[in-house]
Parts: sequence; structure tokens; C-alpha cells
Amino acid sequence: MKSDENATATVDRADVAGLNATRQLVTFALGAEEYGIDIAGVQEINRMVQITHVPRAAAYMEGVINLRGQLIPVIDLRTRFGMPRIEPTRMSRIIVIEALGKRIGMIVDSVSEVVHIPLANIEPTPDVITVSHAEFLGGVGKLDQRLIILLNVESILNTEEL
Amino acid sequence: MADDLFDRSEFVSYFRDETGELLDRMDSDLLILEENISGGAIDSELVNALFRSLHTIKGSAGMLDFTNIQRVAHRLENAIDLLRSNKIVLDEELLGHVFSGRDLLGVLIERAVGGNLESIPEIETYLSGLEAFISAKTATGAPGSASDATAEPGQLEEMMVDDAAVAAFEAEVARLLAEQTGVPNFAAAILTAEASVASAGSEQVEVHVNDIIPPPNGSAVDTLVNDVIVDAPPPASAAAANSPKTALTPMVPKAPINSTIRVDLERLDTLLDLVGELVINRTQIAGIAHSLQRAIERDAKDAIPLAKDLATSASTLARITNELQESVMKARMVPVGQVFERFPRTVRDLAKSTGKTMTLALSGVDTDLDKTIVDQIGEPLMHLVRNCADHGVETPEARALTNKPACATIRLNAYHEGNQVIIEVGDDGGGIDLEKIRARGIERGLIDANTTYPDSDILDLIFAPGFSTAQVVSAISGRGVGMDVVKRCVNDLKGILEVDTKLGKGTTFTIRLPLTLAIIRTLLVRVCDRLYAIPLDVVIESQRILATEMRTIGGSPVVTLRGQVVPLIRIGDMFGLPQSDPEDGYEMIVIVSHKGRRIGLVVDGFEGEQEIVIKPLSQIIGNTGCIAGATILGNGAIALILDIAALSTSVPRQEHTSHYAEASLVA
Repeated sequence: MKSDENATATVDRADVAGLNATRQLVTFALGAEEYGIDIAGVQEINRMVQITHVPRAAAYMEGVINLRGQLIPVIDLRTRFGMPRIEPTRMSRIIVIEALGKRIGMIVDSVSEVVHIPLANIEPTPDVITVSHAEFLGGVGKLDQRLIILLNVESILNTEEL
Repeated sequence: MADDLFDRSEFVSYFRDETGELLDRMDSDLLILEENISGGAIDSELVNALFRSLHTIKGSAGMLDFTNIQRVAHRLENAIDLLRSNKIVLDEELLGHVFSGRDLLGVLIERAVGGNLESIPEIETYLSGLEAFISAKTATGAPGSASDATAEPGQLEEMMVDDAAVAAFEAEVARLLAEQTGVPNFAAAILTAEASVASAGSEQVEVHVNDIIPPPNGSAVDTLVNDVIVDAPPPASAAAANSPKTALTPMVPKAPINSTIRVDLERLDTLLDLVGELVINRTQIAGIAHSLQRAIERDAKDAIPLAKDLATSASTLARITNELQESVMKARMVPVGQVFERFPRTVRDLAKSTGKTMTLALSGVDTDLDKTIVDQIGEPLMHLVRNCADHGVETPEARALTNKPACATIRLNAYHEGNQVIIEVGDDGGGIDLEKIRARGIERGLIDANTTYPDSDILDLIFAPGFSTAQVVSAISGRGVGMDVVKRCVNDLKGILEVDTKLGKGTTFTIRLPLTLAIIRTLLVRVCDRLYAIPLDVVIESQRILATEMRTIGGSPVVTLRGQVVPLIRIGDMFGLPQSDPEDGYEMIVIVSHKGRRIGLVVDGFEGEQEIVIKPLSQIIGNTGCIAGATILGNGAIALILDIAALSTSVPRQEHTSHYAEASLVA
């Protein structure tokens, strides 16, 4: 993680200084945890739509959706992270991310907001986290009282199993 | 001369495409000239076409500062001009020079496009050979040139400098023109310069400014030099007029620059027409919407005829979008002839180098194929054609012994079959000797000496890595091309390579390629309220049979149809879908065929035939072993396309004898 001394300034000043001082994240909920994903990797956020199940694909692979004529694979992020499945709710969203020329949709419990988080407030993922999905995490961001777990877009698109 | 006024990389990629086409054109022109060489009469149109091709290459190279290409093209152009003005005669030797010059240009262009502008020694070797040849030829006829033929080598150097200066000048003008017009069209930007070698021995360059070319966009280009006459002496060279060797191979892999496509103008016009209709349609719908709103405000009854108008417009819209989709698909398709047209030259060269006589017969050149496949099929085809020429075709003497015509025929054929494109490469040569292959296979430890293998298995050995056909089939050494490479290339294109051979009659290689992006006809089936598409070309029939007619063999369900046992796959079970009970005791079965083997797919219902656009599934999903792709239906829903080839491998192979039909009833 890039450390920038100036980033310790207030969020406002960091804004003025430009994006190199903060990261802009789309935050979303998965169970009781709050996750954040870099806004640059987010293509769009959709309500739940009809998902066509693809037989004999990985368990977390929910299927494919028709996004304006393009077929986008959709994964259930809960299953991917080894969390129990839930039935989709009114709040459920599909976040479509894109990196390395690949696109994928991720089902999340709900999408919260877009936040700016100073780089200085982002710490490496603590060693105590030994969960199955540690490889997707890009650190933990602190914003007031909140802990935002940063997801790495490229690693989600790039893992061997995917 | 280099500057940043135009996007260089874009120009380089134009240059590559344009010169590629011109070199192909030169090949075919030269081949026709060569064919008719004995007749004596020269088709002046062909000579002019050659001249124009070279001229364009020269000018384009000049714009990009590819001076080596410019130089070679210029010299060749001079030679063709001498031919054009009847100062030299067309003979085999001259054609040989032009052929190898064309190949040299091909090599230089590939190098230049790849960013390598260094000179290579072949240039000087080639140019001095060409000059020597020309001066020897012209020395006999033209007055005043006899002395030049014996001139000092220094004079040649001078001449080269002069050439380069002229070419640079032309290029500068061409560049200015391109700048003015802003159009990266080389052909238009190239000066219509006439370079001719006069019989006078003096070196001079005359520039005539005598015409104005109005630029396409109307911007002011006041005066343009459009006629350059180069008066240069016949070059002298001490080198002997020996024929240059065709050592340079034209088959250099293309540098991966942005892929472009040339689309038939007619297809673009169709697209444009459709878009035009779409615009009219849009206006109509907007108008109806407006009227509808007002009508509803007044009286809802007034809206009824408008609703009908809207429905009509919607169906028009549906038709236009369908046609639009189809047209865009077609725009991606290019005729396979684009690949085939390089082979007449290959076969000519192979005939020369092997001392055999052979011709190439092309058919099905109009067969459309996806652009990406056309780009990649060239290399495997080249290997196959070489293989036919090297190993398939016999020597004229051997052919005479077997009462075959002395001239062998290599065939290249393409056609559509179902949703596949078939390309055949065949020869009427000696065929593949299976005994020799078998012996070699045993020697290499690939097969067991004591086992009897079917012929097809033996034949498959030629595709084993490192299995040299050269050592087995013929005494002529190969070019180090393994058939395994061809097989791999075809596999990469998701195609199938097959070989069929008859000893003494010939060999045919068949490449089956998918029509990616094609619209295919499918049978839609329903399983547990989900729709799946089965390509119609594999469907034999659909049947409604009593559930009690289904049996099992070793636990696998089968059904007997007209005395033949057909293994069944329950799609619902295989896909882990909830079981649905058959209505009135009947099961719906689609009988499909893969490689001659029949399989029955048990589904819940048939939903009719539909044309669909294949969309590949993202690689992220991985290999499911049962789904070939997907499509989006009219209502926006997704239907998965069943992969019949993959599904058939999941069924155990059974002997199709009728006594199995007596097996136990399904519980």
C-alpha cells in the first residue's frame, strides 16, 4: 500500500489534493461486514434480475445475466467467501465489475454508498484474518467508527478457480 | 522527414494491410503473365497493374520513411516500366527477378512494420542482380547504353543516391498531399509519377509541374507536383547476370497490429439502408407517442387506432433490428478466397523447387468465414499445401508409370455444411502408405507391433508430435513441418482435422471449422421450465415415447428405436434440476447424432425451432462439459446451448446389438 504523509490531512483537503491522497470506494454489505471496492473497477450496480443457472459450474457461480445483450457471469459473493447463502431481498444488488478485459457480476446483500477514504487510513489486512477469501482482500480501511474491508477487483477476476 | 503531424501507428497498420493486398495482387498478376509467357503476347493491363502496385508500395513506404522498401520498389518499378515501354522483353528470367523482388519487399515490409528498419544484405545482392540483368538486356537494343554496361561501379553508387533522392522527393510531396487532405489513403496520396529510364546516358531529373489535383475535401492545395520524370542511365554493374535465388521466404508471421477488416461495400450499404429505416421508424414512433398522449388527454377511445399504429411500427422495428443484426454478422464474415489467393504462388514455387509439375485448383472461394478464423487458418493451410506438394505429389516420371496425367492437381475447396465450414486440401498423388506409417510407429514405440489397429488409428499417427512424414512417406526431405503443428492450429480454432487417403490415388485433409458468431438454427427444448437450445444440424428426430419403453443397461437408461438401442441422457438429472413427472406416462426425447452415434436427450417439452445468435460463455465460468454457449431470446431471456459433442462423451459406449434391448425394465 502506498504511504503518503500528506494523506493524514482532513478528508476535504485530500479531496482537493486529488485522488492520489484518497481512494474512492463503493461500499456494500455482506452479512454483518462492510466491504469496499475501488470505484474504478465498478461498471454498474443493478437490482436483482433473472439469473440463468449454468449447470455443472462452480457452486458460487450463480449463472449468467443478460446485460443489454451481453452475457455476464454472476457469482454469489457469500458462497464465494464461504458464508451461508441467503435468499435475495429487496436490497440485494448485482455489482458488475470489470478489470483485465473481463467482466463479472457479484451478488451482495446491499450497496451502501460511495466513500473517500484517505490512503493513510488503509492498513494491510490483519494477520488474524485467515478466512478462505483472504486472497481477495486488499487491506482494511478505517473511516470514523467503520471498518471497511477492501476487495481487490483483479484478484476476484483472476483466481484460478474462476 | 518524420514528423508528428499524422498518427504513425495508424499509418503503419494501413501500410501493412495495403501492401499485403498489393503483394497478393502482384503475385496473381505475375502468375498470369508467367502462364502466358510462351504465347508471346503480353497483356499490357497486367504490366500496368504491376507497375501501379509497385508504385503505390513505393509511395506508401516513402511516407513512412521506409527507405529500403522504397528503393527496392523503385528499382522494380523501373524494370516494369522498361517492360511496359518494350525496352526489354518478358521472359522467365525477368519474371524470376520480379518474383524474388516481390518476396524481398514482403520481407522488408514485415520487418519495417515490426519496427526493424535496418538494411539487410539481400537488398544489395538483389538490386545488383536486377541491375545487371537489366543492363545486359538493354545493352543489345538501346543506343548509347552499350558503354554504360561497362561503366565503373562508382557510377552505380551515384545512381542509387539519385534514386533515393527522387524517391524521397516524391514521398515528401505525397506526405504533403496526405496532410492537406487529411485522409490516410495512400493510393490517393501517391503521386502519379512516371519514372522511366531514358536511353540517353545522362543523369538528370526533370520535374514537370503541370497539373493540379483538387483535394477531396476542397481545401486549398494550390500546386501539386504530379509528374516526375526520372531520366537515369541504364545502371552499370560488374556483377554477372546470374539469377537471384528465391531464398527469402515470404511466409513471415504477421506482426500483431490492430486487426482491420475490409467490408464489401454492398454489405455496408445494406447496413446503411437499415439504419436509415431505423431512423424513419424512430420518427414514426415518436410521432405516435405524441399523438397518443394527446388522444388520451381528450378521450381514451381515440387512442385505439394509434395503438394499432404503434403495433405496426413495433413490428417494423423488429424486422429492421433483425436484419441489422444479421447484416452486422455478415460484415464480420470474409470470403475464404482471401486466404486461398496466396496459394497459387506457393504451388508455383513448390513446383519449381521440387521439379514436379502441378497446378492448384481452387473452389468455393466465396465461402464466408469469420474474420478471426480467416486470419489464423492461413498457416495450417500453408503447411498442408506444402505437405501435398512435397510428399503427396509424385514426380512426373512416377506419375507416367501409373498412367496419371503428368501435371498433378492440388485442390483447395471450401463449403458450408450445417453450422460448420469445411476446408479441404487434397492432392491426386501417391497417397499415404499405411504400412510405412505402421512400421515407423512401431519403430518409434508409438504402437505395439503385435496388435492390429484400425487404419484410422494408424493414419492418426501422422499427427503425433515429431512424427516425420518426410522420412516415412517420401524421400524428399520436408520443411520441418510437423503435422502435429497443423493439428494444434486447427484445434486452437475449435476445429477438427481429418485425413483421408487412398494409396496411389491421393490424400485429402479436411478441416472442419465452427462458424463462430454465426446465426444457427436450433431446436428449443424445455427442461424444468428452463429453455435450452440444441443445434438443429445434430438433431435427427424428436420422439414422444412411453416411459415404460425405457430400459437400462448397466444402470444407464436406453431406449430401442426401430431395433437400434439408443443411450439416453436425462438432461434434468444431469443438470441437477428438480425431477418432473412425465405427463400421461410419455417422455419427450430428442435424438441427436454425434460422429454417427445416436443419443437420446430426455427433456420436458419441445418449444419449436428458432434461429439464434451464439454468444460464448465467459471463460470465468470454466468448462462445464455440457454447455457450448448461450443465446438471448426475443424476450430477453437466456437459453443455454447444449454441447452435444461433450454430452456424448459422458455416455458409455455400448454395442448396438439388439439383445441388449432385452435388458431389465426401468424401475
